[in-house]
Amino acid sequence: MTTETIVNFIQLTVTATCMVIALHRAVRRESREWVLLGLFYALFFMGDLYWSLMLAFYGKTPEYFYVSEIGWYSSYLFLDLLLRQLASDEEMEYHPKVLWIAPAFTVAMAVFYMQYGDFIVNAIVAVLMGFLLWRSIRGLVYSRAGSGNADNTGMRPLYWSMLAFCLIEYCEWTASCFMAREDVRMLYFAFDAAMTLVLILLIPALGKAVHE
Amino acid sequence: MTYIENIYACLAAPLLIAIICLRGKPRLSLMFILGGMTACLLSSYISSFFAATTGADALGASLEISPVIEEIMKIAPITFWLLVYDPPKMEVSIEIVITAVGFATFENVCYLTSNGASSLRYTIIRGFGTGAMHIVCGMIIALGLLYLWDRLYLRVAGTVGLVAAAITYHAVYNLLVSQTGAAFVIGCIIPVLSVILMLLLIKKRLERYTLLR
Repeated sequence: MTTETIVNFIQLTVTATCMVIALHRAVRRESREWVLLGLFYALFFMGDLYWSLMLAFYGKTPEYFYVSEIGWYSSYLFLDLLLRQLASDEEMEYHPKVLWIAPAFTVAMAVFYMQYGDFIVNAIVAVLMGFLLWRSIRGLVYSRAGSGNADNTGMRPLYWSMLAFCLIEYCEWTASCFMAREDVRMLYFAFDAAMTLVLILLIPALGKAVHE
Repeated sequence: MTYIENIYACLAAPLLIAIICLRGKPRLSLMFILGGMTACLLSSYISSFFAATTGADALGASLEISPVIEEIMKIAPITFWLLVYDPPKMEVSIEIVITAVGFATFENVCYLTSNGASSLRYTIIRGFGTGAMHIVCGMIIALGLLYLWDRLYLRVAGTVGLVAAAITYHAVYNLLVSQTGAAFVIGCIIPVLSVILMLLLIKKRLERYTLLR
């Protein structure tokens, strides 16, 4: 068994378990927030599963169409919808200048990745990640902004988890650009393990955000 | 060679006549069965086109191109209905499943015309495997929409995400059944298991909307 197979297997098991937990809570509590998180896990899991099965059965990654990417990027969409759903009207109106870090970062990274990959796919990722980072940073800044924002403090673990999720994804993508080097390859697997941990943390973070 | 447009004409004719004669909900449901069959016909043309342009072989097209095209085409009749009218959410969810039924039926008829129906074992595997898989994909979108209907941004973005979920589910199924042995068996069982799990998980919610009464 290679390190990649072991890391993939652990992540698949974790996402499948988290998916079941989130969807079970969604049905039991009739909660839209848990539905959104459950769908995030489901898409992330199926994107991973397709990629791993393709490697296991045919020894290659998909070459004609972006099936796994459709799964992964749509999972980001559900995370974004979750943050949109949880944010209060007042928080939605809050736009400090620091938020522009998010699109600036994602666009810069997209330009870098375009040297290695597809133009359209990287543009889509930049938009989705830009929204996710925007909402996460805004939530954190809003909760620290002072009086009148106490209702938002329960959301902070979720915002931190989302921020960690985005940054680890970027670390993984950047490492994958230099996978030929063995040390970078090991670093990539370390980021993948950190991602698995963040995926687990999203469940208690959402629980706290919805006051359970 | 299978002349699928000829099969389509033959199957669509009685449906079309019934649609003209009937009124109300039965008419709507028949329209969506026909819509599903039409989506299946068109997706076969579009998949062939993309396979030719990307240079994909039959296996590559089945594993990577067909799931994407078929799931997008399957939701097309409903998207048109949603944009033109403002139907209630329960009706939309039911019609999505009915469209999937039309799609799966037409695909199965084309498959049987090409490969024959002499083996009961394979026809049952086809019916409860691929046929059920199409229904599950429809149910993923239908049930998801029940939860994400109330706000417009959730409805629009949620539909895109749910179609993506159906695409990846379909692609994983195609990948499993392209194998032999245990992977093939697991692939065949997954759709039926998914239906059972969905019914167990969401029975209460469906009962509230009178789908299971």
